[in-house]
Amino acid sequence: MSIRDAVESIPVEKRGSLMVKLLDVILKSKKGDVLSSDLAREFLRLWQEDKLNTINGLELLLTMAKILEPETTVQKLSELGFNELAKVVGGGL
Amino acid sequence: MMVKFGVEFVPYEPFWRTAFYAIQAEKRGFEYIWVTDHYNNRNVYVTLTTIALHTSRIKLGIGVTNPYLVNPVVTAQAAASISEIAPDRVILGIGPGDKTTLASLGVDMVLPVAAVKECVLIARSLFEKGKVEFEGKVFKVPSAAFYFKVKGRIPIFIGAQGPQMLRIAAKYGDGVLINASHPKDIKEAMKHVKKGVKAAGKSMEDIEIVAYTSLSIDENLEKALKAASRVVAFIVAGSPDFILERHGIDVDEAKEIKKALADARWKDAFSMVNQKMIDAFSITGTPEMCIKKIEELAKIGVTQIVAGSPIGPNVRKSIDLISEKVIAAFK
Repeated sequence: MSIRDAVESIPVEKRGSLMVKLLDVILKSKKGDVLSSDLAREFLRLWQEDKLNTINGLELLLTMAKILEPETTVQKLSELGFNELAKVVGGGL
Repeated sequence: MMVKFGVEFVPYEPFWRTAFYAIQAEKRGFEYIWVTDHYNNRNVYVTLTTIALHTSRIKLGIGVTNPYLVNPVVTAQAAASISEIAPDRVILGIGPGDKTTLASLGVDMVLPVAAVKECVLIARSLFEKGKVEFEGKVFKVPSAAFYFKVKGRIPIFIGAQGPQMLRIAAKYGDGVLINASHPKDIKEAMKHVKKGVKAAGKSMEDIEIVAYTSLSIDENLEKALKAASRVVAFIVAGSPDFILERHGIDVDEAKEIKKALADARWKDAFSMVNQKMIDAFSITGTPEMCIKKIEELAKIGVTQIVAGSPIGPNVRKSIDLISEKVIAAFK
């Protein structure tokens, strides 16, 4: 299963809380410099357009969180009960 | 009681993080973003350009640059170039700069009051007429002109601390940026601001009085205090004795903090910060506590509060909190 497939399976009402958790992982990471400028620009575009809680937005946030803080991301996803998503994101760790 | 709210960002973090918070601030009803200018961080103009391209309403403050590292004509050019992207949203903030930082580049802070005043006059001429001829004590511009039209009005705010600079700021500036969080310091500054306003034949309503504060807000007081102590330690260490004494702070304790910071004993330094220091040099606490202190500042004449570092233990949450609780209380 891809990250996108896993995101699509998340109920709409849970997308907001997932977005907030992922944002905190991304914003608190001390490794912000490793993010590519392409991903960063897409992140700002989606945030400006209020689309970070959409499927595209969450897919991007998960991709960023996985790059910046893979272990913390898996842990947070598990804590929130997104076990399937945690498995997909954690694959290969 | 009408107060405008701004937020300060120090671009030491990747561009996307600063821009994220700036977009958030606009969404949450802040009116101003101020980006600091230090050569060792990301460039202020590039940062503001990025923010300008991702926002549509919030004012963009250069907060603040100095007249020494960049020729005032080039500073005006940079501000005018951002104003083309975001007309009527750019504010040029000018102050004398930081002596230590300038010294690290081998630059002397020559005649700071004259340098700031002359920089303001040069920039204003370029903003309003597109050209300048100037001969001052510090700067000489025999003849300079822009080959482009400046879009929008660009107000000039002056960062001031000492009596002379405060008077000049009030006389020549559209706004005065005062690095202070405590009513005692603002009251003292206002004495000189009023003199400058009078000398210029202006009224207090003609200028914006900005308290550039250190602010730390959280629903959890302990968390807010912990975040504040990291910033307040540096403010205490850099404050002259007469300022410390004004707030009843033990000068020897301040020296200990300074020594700990110089030795990179961060934990020691932060743990020596006490409540008196926090009260003197920051607006820290729960939303209710912050509102109370901001009300005091507004009564003295502050028209804009800038939430500066650390903003809170979690910047994203703190920006939301300021919007929901603090800004809402002053509407």
